[in-house]
Amino acid sequence: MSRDLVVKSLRDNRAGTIAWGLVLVASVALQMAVYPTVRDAAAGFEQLLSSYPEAFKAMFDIQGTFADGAGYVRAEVFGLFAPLVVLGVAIGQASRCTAGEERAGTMDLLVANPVSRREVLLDKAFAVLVDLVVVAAALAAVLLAANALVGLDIPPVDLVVASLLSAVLALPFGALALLVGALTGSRGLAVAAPVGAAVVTFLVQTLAELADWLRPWRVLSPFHHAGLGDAVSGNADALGALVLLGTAGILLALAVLAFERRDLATR
Amino acid sequence: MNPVVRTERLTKRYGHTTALRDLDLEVSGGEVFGLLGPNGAGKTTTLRLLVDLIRPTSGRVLLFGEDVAADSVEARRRVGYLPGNLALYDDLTGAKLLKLLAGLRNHADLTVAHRLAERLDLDLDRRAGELSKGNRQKLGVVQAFQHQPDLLVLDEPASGLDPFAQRELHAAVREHADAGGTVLFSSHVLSEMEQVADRVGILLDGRLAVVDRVANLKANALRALTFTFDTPVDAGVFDRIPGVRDVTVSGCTVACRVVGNVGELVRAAAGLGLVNVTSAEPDLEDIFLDYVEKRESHVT
Ligand SMILES: Nc1ncnc2c1ncn2[C@@H]1O[C@H](COP(=O)(O)OP(=O)(O)OP(=O)(O)O)[C@@H](O)[C@H]1O
Ligand SMILES: [Mg+2]
Repeated sequence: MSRDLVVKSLRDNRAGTIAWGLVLVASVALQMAVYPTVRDAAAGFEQLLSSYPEAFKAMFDIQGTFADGAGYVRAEVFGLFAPLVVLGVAIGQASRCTAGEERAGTMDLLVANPVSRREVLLDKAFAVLVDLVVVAAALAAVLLAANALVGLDIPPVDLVVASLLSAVLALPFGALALLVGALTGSRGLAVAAPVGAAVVTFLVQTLAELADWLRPWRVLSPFHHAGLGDAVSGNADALGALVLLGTAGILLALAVLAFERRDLATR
Repeated sequence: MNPVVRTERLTKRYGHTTALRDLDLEVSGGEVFGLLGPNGAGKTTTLRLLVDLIRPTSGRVLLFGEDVAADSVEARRRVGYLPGNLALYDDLTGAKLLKLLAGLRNHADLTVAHRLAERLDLDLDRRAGELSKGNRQKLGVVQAFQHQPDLLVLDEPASGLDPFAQRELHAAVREHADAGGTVLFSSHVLSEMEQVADRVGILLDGRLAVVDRVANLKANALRALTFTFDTPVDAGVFDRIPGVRDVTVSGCTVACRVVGNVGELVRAAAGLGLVNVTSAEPDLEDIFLDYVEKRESHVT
């Protein structure tokens, strides 16, 4: 591993990571600031919620109650919002630092050095991983602070695990961005493919709550394996996390093979 | 001794276009080799194949005697490369960019870079994105030279440089070769070949049309001669002399072009009341156009 390359990639990603991280922290902080009000009006909310269509509740992982902190956090934070941001980081950075760099033309400058293509790709992937961990840590930090300040009443370890799992959830999507970028050199495709995959697998996971025939297909959804909501409730799925890590590993290996073989594009 | 650069039937196809066809090239240590050709001839393709940015369709590249396909990392350790479509990290200053690239080579010594930047009159404290085109190019040149590589692969190094900077660049190239280094560069500016190249290869449509020393190319080139006589003369006399062509007569003046030995032509002219003769030094432009013409007449 080349320290210079990792540092360079981290520096390139920095602005994006900070922006995504701030959006996440600020929004979650706002959501948490509202929590006491929600809790105190829980009865009214409960009524309101029961009137929501099932599809909507499935979509946001609303488990019938906002009255306890875990139900609130899993719906408000881990239902959609946190996955959206970590996926944004993973897909955005992975596509930018590979296909994006190739499109910008600077890949020639980089790869003309005595570094192998494999090293370039793995170092850049590592930088994206660091970004994800940073964002997940920021998420955990704001949740832990909220836990103490507004009394979410969630075991801190569950908040930390759920936050880290959200980063793990993002790995296969980031790796898919790397693979498509390595195959095509196109940043557009490197973004579109994982975004498309995310939309489809998210719908499969959430709609399976409503349509029984979809349930068997959930095994194809990373969102199912991440089980973020259940992790907040103290039921993290270790096997699911391994499935995600394994999938990301395979996609990354394929990305390396593709990148090693391809002609690099010029501007 | 192994040549520093050797290509064997190197071929690169993109779909139906053949960018490079059966290129056999050898460049030895201490040599400055110029790759000359019009737009789209395959110069950039050749140089990017050498540094393993793209892969041959067939054939192979050997640098320092080793097949690049086997281990291009080792080869690139000894190579400095200036891309033809130079792109820099716009947010980095020149100094930071050089430091980054030097770091990737474990080459901590930036004195060569700073000295060359000074020679080229390049301000290393400005961000690359703020630099003018020519100054960006200078930065590209400096990063290629900075680790004093055994082989310099420069894709149109003089492009965008002002005449002063071009002169410094050419001097630096010569010094590099005089110190035992090897240079392979491309250009469509012919005077550049005359100034720095030991040998020139002319690429046309992906084929290496000719490789020779600059001096030999000039010796075999068409030379333009103009004779002035004391009385009008007949063009036919000149047309019959071997090697002479394009004879034009206007009054007492005869202009023609001749390839190779001019002795017979001059003797014939002397017998006709010759007053004056002028000879233009053939420049590579003529040589170059001559090859292009030959190829085109061959095609049609
Ligand atoms: N990625 C590519 N895909 C398709 N064709 C390509 C590609 N790269 C180069 N070519 C074609 O290969 C031929 C050689 O291109 P190359 O860039 O090597 O020319 P060049 O001699 O460097 O030209 P210039 O003087 O304009 O820089 C051209 O016909 C070009 O269109
Ligand atoms: Mg070119």
